[in-house]
Amino acid sequence: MAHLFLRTGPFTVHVETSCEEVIDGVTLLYDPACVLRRPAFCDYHVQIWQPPLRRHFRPQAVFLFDGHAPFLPGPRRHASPMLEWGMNWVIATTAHQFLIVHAAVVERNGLALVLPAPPGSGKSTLCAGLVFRGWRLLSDELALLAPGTGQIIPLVRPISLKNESIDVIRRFAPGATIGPATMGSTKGTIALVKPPSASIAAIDEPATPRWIAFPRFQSGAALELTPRSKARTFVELGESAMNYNILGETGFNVMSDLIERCDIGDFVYSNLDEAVSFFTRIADEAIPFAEAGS
Amino acid sequence: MRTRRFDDEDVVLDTYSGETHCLNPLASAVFERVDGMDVVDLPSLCEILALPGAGKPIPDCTPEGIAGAIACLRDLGLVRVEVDGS
Amino acid sequence: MSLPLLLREPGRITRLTLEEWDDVIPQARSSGILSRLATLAQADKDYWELPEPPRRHMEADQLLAAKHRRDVLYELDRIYEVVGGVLGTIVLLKGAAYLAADLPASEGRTFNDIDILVPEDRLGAVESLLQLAGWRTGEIHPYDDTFYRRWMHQIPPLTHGGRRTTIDVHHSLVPRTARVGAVTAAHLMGRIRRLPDRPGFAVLAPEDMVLHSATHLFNEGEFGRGLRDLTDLDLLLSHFGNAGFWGFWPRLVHRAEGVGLTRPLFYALRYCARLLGTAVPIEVEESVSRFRPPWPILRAMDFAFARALAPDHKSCRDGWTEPALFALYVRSHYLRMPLHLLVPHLVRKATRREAYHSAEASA
Repeated sequence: MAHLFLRTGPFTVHVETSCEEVIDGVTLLYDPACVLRRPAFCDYHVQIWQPPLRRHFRPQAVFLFDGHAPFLPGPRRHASPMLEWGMNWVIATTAHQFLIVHAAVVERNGLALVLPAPPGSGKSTLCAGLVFRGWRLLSDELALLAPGTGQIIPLVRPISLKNESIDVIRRFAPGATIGPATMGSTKGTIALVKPPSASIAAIDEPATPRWIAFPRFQSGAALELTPRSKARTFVELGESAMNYNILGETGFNVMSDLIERCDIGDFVYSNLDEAVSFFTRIADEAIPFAEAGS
Repeated sequence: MRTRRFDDEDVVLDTYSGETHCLNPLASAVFERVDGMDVVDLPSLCEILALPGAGKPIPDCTPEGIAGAIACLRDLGLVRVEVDGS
Repeated sequence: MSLPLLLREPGRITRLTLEEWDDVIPQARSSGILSRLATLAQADKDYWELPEPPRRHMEADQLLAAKHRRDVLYELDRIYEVVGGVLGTIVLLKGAAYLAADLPASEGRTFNDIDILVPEDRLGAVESLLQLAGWRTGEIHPYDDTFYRRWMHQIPPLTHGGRRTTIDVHHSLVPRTARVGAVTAAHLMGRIRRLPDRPGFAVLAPEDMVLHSATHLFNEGEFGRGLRDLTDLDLLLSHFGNAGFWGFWPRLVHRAEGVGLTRPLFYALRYCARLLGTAVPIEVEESVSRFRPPWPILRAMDFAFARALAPDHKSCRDGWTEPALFALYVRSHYLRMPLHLLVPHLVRKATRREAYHSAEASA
């Protein structure tokens, strides 16, 4: 039985497992700075457990939080991504000191680009693309917004890629460390990418949100950024946020400030290089979305 | 209730039901004027909303549109105003 | 560090080390009393000197508890709109009652459903009205549906399609088939307390509220929220047992005898005092000791309940926990149903579980 103590942003997670896939995944994808010796206090205690009856025939693994299973078991070959989803679930259902929006977040020049999107929209691909071209990764799944300051707090963990994105990023960032691609879940083929060390080094630095772009990958489409109703975006983000309703008035205020200070648009792209250059130029030259067009 | 305006649209948090609503420009303009009222005279409201004023003209700013917006706001529990006259 | 010890001696909270918090937070979260622990901790003037990480967890859980409170209050109004007319006054039970009556037992609590008590002759009308207004019985095996309606003290839970909130409609505090307790709605209605701050709603008399909580915990065999339910009892007893409610204790004992719920009362006072340090007057303890079971059974119950009422966390379990829980589960069924119903019921449940497992194995 292995006991791993992982740092993800402001949280320490104790992972207890005998599952080789998890241990190998952590060894490959986590910077040593994020693998700690046992601290006095861990925010969360999770387990990846292998049910004994399914150890050999179609082996399974199940994610446990404090000994309770929030999800059904999955194939053991998905144990490493299962740990990532599990940790996201735990944070999203308990860390109500933050407003938690379902989005990837990257940062450049101190300002954050928030990429909300349902699964399959190309958010993680775009996120990974930006991160391997000089942007800093804050999170690939959960944006933690601090009430009061409105800043986004980094989580910085492996980025989850699916299906074709895996090869796209392999070609786009040949130096990136990518874990084994595991096939055949409801989400398709999955692989995890280790964040660049510069992102890890800045794990304690929050960022001020500046742009919100809803990405959509569309094969063959011309790159386009179109403006979006702020009010409608507010409500959509609130609906997809994990805990907007729980935070009540505080949630309303944090979301209001986020929407107020950001340029917001719908973004369609088919070429990752182009998309990355586009946002990099916007960030470096402080171009408002309304003037960025396509 | 908490309200925040973005451009010409309102987002309203109903602290009683916990629901958050997005109001289009017409509903936002109507809400701003009838919030807290018990009765409103529809023709007067239409005149006020039709005035040029600052900012963009309000789309769908017809008596039917305005009455519809009031009914919608009432259904959502955001206003209690009744319409007087037509 | 054990959570029950902290609950008995809250002065220890501000002296906990980080390592001790590392045990306490998961225990409290698993047991559903993290916000309750927060409330206790915040009563101490040195709260702000606690280390930040455990404070953040406790405060985050309080936000969740606050959300539950808002939701329940909203839901009560929606329920009144639908059935207030046919019932006149809606009698609330358990958590919803504690909240509506603003009792300390509503602090730091999450609420999963709303429980109401309805006279049996109004059950049909109430169920129809709720269904018309969008509440539905969830997917339920026809056997379970029959089981609820013929033998239990409530109809199957109803869930609102849009809001996903659940309402449990009870017609008695104990199942129809129970060997003990005669507390139908009819028995209780004459003693309800209307809530001046909440017109249209009422709660049970204090003694009945305590007996209901005790019966639910000690007779119904479900201990997933065992420690939480025990803390409910502690908060109810402490609140009603203090000077403001003159005569509460003798009324409680007398009422328990009147309705045949003396054994659950005995256990409630015993384990609240032992595990949570609830202040029960000596004369009351002596008075209820005559309701104790024979000595060997009491020893067995102490052994079993010590495990069932422990925090729902692996650090608080031992090899006897599972067998103890199972024994209490069987006991609860025995209490609820006569033997000629119990055996077929357990057999049906067991074969359905078998079928589920073999379906899973072949998946």
